[in-house]
Amino acid sequence: MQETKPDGNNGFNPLIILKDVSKSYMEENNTERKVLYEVNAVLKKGEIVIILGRSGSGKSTILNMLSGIDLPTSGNILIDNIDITKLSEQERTLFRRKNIGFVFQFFNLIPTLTSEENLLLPLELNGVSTVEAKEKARNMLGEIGLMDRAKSYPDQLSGGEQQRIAIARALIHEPSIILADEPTGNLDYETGLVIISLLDTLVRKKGKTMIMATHSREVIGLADRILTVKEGKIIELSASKVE
Amino acid sequence: MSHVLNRSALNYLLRHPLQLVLSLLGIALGVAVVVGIDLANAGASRAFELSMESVAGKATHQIIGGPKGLPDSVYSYLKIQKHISPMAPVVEGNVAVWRPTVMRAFTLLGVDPFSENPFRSYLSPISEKITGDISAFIAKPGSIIISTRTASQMGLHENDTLTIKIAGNYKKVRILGLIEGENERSRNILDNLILCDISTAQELLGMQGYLSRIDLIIPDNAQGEETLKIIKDSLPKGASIVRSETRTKIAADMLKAFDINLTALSLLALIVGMFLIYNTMTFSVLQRRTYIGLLRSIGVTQKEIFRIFLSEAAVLAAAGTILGILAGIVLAKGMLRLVTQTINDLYMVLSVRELNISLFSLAKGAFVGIGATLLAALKPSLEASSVPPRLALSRSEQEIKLRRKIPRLAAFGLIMLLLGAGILALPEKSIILSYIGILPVILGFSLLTPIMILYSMKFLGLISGKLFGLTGRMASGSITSQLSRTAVAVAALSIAVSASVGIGTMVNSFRQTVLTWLNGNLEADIYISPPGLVLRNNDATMDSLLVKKIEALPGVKSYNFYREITLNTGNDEMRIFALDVGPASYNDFKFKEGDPEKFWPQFRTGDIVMVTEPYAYRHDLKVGDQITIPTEKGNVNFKVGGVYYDYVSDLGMVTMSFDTYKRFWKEHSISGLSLFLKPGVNRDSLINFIRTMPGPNEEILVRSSNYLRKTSIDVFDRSFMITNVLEALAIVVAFIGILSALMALLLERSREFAILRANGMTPIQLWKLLTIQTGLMGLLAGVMSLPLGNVLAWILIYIINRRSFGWTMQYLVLPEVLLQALIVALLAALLAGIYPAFKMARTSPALALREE
Repeated sequence: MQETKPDGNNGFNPLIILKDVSKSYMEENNTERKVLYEVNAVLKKGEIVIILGRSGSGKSTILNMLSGIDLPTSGNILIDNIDITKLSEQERTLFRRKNIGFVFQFFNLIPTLTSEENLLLPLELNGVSTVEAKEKARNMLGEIGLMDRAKSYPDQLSGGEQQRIAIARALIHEPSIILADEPTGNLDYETGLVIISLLDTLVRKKGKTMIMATHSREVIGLADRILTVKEGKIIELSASKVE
Repeated sequence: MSHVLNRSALNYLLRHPLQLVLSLLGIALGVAVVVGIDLANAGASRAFELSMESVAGKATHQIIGGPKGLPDSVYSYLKIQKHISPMAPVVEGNVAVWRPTVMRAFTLLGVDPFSENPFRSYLSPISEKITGDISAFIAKPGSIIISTRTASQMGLHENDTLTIKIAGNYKKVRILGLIEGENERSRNILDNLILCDISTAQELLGMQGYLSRIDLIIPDNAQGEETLKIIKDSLPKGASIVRSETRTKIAADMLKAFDINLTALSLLALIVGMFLIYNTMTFSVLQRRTYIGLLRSIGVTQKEIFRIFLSEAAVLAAAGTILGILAGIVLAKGMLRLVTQTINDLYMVLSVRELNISLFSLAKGAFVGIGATLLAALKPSLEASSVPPRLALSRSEQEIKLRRKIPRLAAFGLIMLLLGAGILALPEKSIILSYIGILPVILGFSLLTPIMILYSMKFLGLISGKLFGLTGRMASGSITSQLSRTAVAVAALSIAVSASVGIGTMVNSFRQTVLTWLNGNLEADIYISPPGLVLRNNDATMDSLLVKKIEALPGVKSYNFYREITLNTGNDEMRIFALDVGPASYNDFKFKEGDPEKFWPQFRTGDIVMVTEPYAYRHDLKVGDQITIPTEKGNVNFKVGGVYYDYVSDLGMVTMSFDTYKRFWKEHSISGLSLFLKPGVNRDSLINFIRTMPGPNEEILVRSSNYLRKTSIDVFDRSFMITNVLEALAIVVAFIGILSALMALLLERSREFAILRANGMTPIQLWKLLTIQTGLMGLLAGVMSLPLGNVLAWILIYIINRRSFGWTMQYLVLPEVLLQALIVALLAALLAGIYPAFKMARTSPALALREE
């Protein structure tokens, strides 16, 4: 096992590059807790990467930093040759709005919006016209098999249905990167498989790059590459090693 | 902004209907109080303007005389010898008419119909009305004209006979005709007037040979200057010529402090309302931190989040303000009665019967309501926009952040308190500045709340644990562990309650001061005076024959008497209290400055006066200063020999001996007398006997000292009734806000309570937990409101009262006011716990857990 280096792209176009990224948090007693130590990684366009690791290992921190939600304490993150650590808060938000789709463990649908409206939101934020947005939302609802739940509020849906809507919301505005943080963590085994299959199909069909943080070993089958976070470092694993 | 985002915000409001209704009520009540007071004040001001216009008309100058008036020979001299024109003689006075049982005050205006035209345009139809019988108006004594509208309101007709009451005398008059104003303004002016010829007014008001004043129109040019000089040179001593607007300004000044304080108190309800709006919005942000974080993570910018919350506040503001304005109009109707009553008691006769809903007042209400709500929502909206997009931001992290900020907040709070103290300590007399100084004090105090909660809960938590065991410890623990929420609710509640402590303590301190003063001041057995329409400002005099008869009554051991007059000094009005008292009554006057031992021996003979505390304050006078009084023998300088405590009038008085008064004024009637009785004389029998002494058409007020004390306190209480109403409304606003804040706080913890229920806590136990928690918060807020309330009372008593009225008050902390504060805070907090406890008890824990 060895840490992935930025130059190890083997001729592929790198989409995401993490250069010496460190992250630490301040504790209540003013002590520093280091989560990541000078991490380096290169992620390529169109691949599905799974990040494994125990709870608290820093998987979600990596996703947060990739989306610009959080910033590294030191180091750089380049996405499509843009160093997002150098962007302002406003610029990072607009970058995220356009390029990132998020799928969360707890679905995080907007409780005050219907399923359809939850899908309309990213489109409206990206300036898509209402007519076009509605059409896209309907198509997407059809694709995930929830056309009949368009007018339902999140609290009227089952966990699996909520996560399907969340996946649709993450993809509907066609971002280049999908970040999924434990997408099956709050679902039963069967539903989890359905969700993983849906994510796999949609992401591959639309040619997106997906980085999924999980500690569930059942999902590794769909990965192009598997990374693990251990003691603050990212290490690439082969599928056989994971088995 | 995204339609979907707007819909989401709207849906959030609609999904919390109780919170929505309470927020709207909070804003609406705050606005209602401001609009109510403003409309009532505007109504009174308009009545005041009309009353000024009705008597002054288009006159630029007025010639006025001494206490009895201006000899009418002055008019004839100026008209015939000096050819001054235009010029109109006026005799005016306040009269009352009971019909059928309700008293209505009027201004009796005696005019010369032939001179009137250039002055009072609203009287222009007068000659048309009485065409053909103009001689009757002038020649038939007791002929009056009233407005058509007044006649119809009072069920009167032409040729009816009417009984009017003038300074205790009943006089009969005949309605010669009715007059209809040409426009609404004229009609409004005429509503409050009884018109008659000069000679009729002189006869009715007992002013034979005298005029109240002469109105003049003098142009503002060289020719006008020349005319002024001629008039000045022709005037006898004691008469003067003043600009009309000066008289209007003097009268307006009388009402200024009253008006400002009333407006400021109404704003207090709004400030309380603002704190509650701030509270509600803060909760709304806190409740939606995850939601905001989620929006941020999918690319909603900080500006967009800020706009969402501010728009939400704007919607609430608009709806609450509309409701508030409607409620304010209803409130104004009740307030107008109280405002008019107080003005009539203390300052002048003002008759207001209808509310004028001015668009300006409503616009002001809208501006204040929307402005205050947006201002209050600004910080929570900024906070919302600064919520980081990390969904992982846990509650504990928020609390940790606040804990770190507590010392800084406390330090900033102390700085605000110092800033407030600095503003209040400025050597200024401005009342508005004083109220501005209160704001940083309140803000500083609210910033100190988190640290005060932390320290007090260490102690209260121990007690609560001892009393209620684990439930008690859980309840107290959750107050400090959720400080970001609890501190805001406790601060808002304690500020709202402290406003009531401050006002309550101020009113009670003032009341007690007046009571103590009355007890030391009313030592005679019987007090006699003619009735006046303004209780604390009575220029009416008594019949001298009657006075002589009373003084000679066999039961009377000794007596004091006095004369009250009002003088115009050109820029101001001066009330003179000319007093004949024996040494036994010297102690009634408690000196604030000056030596009574030196003062009293000079009182009767020297050119020395004493002034009341408010008078000294208003005119920056101290013992030894000279004061110029326009007497009938010209301007005379008097030495100020003492400043004494007096709570009769906030305008102040100059007191001289009756002997001194007689040296400078020719008219020696008296305004009232007080009798000391011989031992063994039955006071009540004598009072009843004295009441029978005036003639059939006369009336005098004969009162025992106890009764006078009671009526004085009644007037005091009546003047503060409006303050009490405002205080009560501020409490209601606070109550609603707290109910909403605590409810939000508890409902937000639904999941936590569901977990407790799932783990076996019964609904009763849960109710107990919530009750202890809200009870502790109420108790904390109640206790914390006491120091702030007392600071506010101190500011009201020693700064605002002094700057407004110049009075010294005892500072009196009444246990019942403090107890009331604790009860209100506790009750509000406990009531707030009922609904969430009820809801939690009825909701399945599984459902509550799932909803999360």
